[in-house]
Amino acid sequence: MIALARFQLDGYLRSLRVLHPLIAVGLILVIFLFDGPGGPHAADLAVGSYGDVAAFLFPVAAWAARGLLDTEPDVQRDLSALAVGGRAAPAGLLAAYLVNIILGTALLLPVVIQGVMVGVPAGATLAGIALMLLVAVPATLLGAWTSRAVIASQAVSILVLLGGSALILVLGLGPLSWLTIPMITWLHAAHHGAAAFTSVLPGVAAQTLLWSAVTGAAYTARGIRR
Amino acid sequence: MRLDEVGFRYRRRGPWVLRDVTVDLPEGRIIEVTGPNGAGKSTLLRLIAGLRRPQRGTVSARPPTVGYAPERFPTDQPFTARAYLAHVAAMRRIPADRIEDWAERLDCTPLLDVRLPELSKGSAHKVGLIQALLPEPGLLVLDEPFAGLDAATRGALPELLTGLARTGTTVLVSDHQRDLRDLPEVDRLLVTGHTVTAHTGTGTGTGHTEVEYTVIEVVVPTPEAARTRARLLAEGYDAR
Repeated sequence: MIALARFQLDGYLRSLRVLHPLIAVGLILVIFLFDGPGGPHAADLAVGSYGDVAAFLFPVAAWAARGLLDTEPDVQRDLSALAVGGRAAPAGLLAAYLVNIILGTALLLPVVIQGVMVGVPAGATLAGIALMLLVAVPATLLGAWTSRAVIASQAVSILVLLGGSALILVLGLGPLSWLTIPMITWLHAAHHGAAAFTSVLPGVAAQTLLWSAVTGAAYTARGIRR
Repeated sequence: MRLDEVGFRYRRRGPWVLRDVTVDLPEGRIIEVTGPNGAGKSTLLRLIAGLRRPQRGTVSARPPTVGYAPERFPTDQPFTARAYLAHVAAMRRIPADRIEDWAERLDCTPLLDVRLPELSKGSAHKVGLIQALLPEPGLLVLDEPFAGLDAATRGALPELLTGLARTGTTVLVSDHQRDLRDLPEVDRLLVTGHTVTAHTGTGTGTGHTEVEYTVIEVVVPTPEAARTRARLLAEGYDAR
């Protein structure tokens, strides 16, 4: 599984497809750096940025995961599956998750430095890092579910990726919020200070991981059944 | 290895590509898969290799290590042949020095440092063959392995496959050009009419029967001679 993940990572980096999400991360960073926290409530604003970074990371990471998995030609995907058997789907997810951690770190690190400089409590900063690591999981899965192995049409897959990201956000506003990733919950808490942000993290983590466990198991089972 | 009443279609309500396929694939045999274009030869090979699951029937006793060389090796990958094969060796958990051995045997050592997208069709085909041969598979499935190969490799491949079969590897080959026709111990499967029958040879299919041959003359207009010969070859007959 590790060997296939390395093969996919190597192919993704050599193909330069990684530049697409990196450019997106760079553009988002420009917004955060030019509109950095200031004034008497700078620390609270910085904690709000932790929540925003995680929300911005979600669609970018889903896109990156889709791009990584689509780098492998269809016939090669068959050959790789033959080489590693049922571990092919988990290997792809692992490779995509690692890329997303790197993208998340690139996006969060400057924001964390800003936060530390304005006096954000260490607990809130750790919660921001943990949230980034968490969000990369469902984002990777959304990207995997919209990859060419699942949705052959590129136009449809982009529509599902963008629509899925929007739906995940919108569902969090209504009574069906238990069905989705609690993006609205963490955004709301992050903009209400460090204490609120750290206190919602366990619930956010549990719901995110449950959502990821269900979608991840279905994705892996799909790969084995084919 | 055995296929029992196997049926396959690509979409849930689509047409059956293969139906009621029951064949034995004995260990250590070379089995040539023939049939007209679009009959389902490549689909049969993918089912046997385990790349697709049949909707009906069962595939049993497949050897644990399977090598598969596709009809068109995917060259749209950002690696040199050597880097690609090193990744394959790592995935298969086998020593990378086997790459050099197989490259030497298929006379393509200088190609190892060429990027995959820059390889000619025949050279790419050799890389496809090496990746299938590297893990020393118990089942080797080759989809049109002779297409695009140079004359020397075309000539050497039947002997190489015979050697593998002698060590117990079951070798399945779809072959339009009938490059295996001169091998004495080749079993044949004919794919036609959405099903598969053991057509000629020994050891394939139920019964393992010896088949008698009869020479017939077929008279056709001269312009149709080449096409008729090709059609007969594709259907598994020997035509000269």
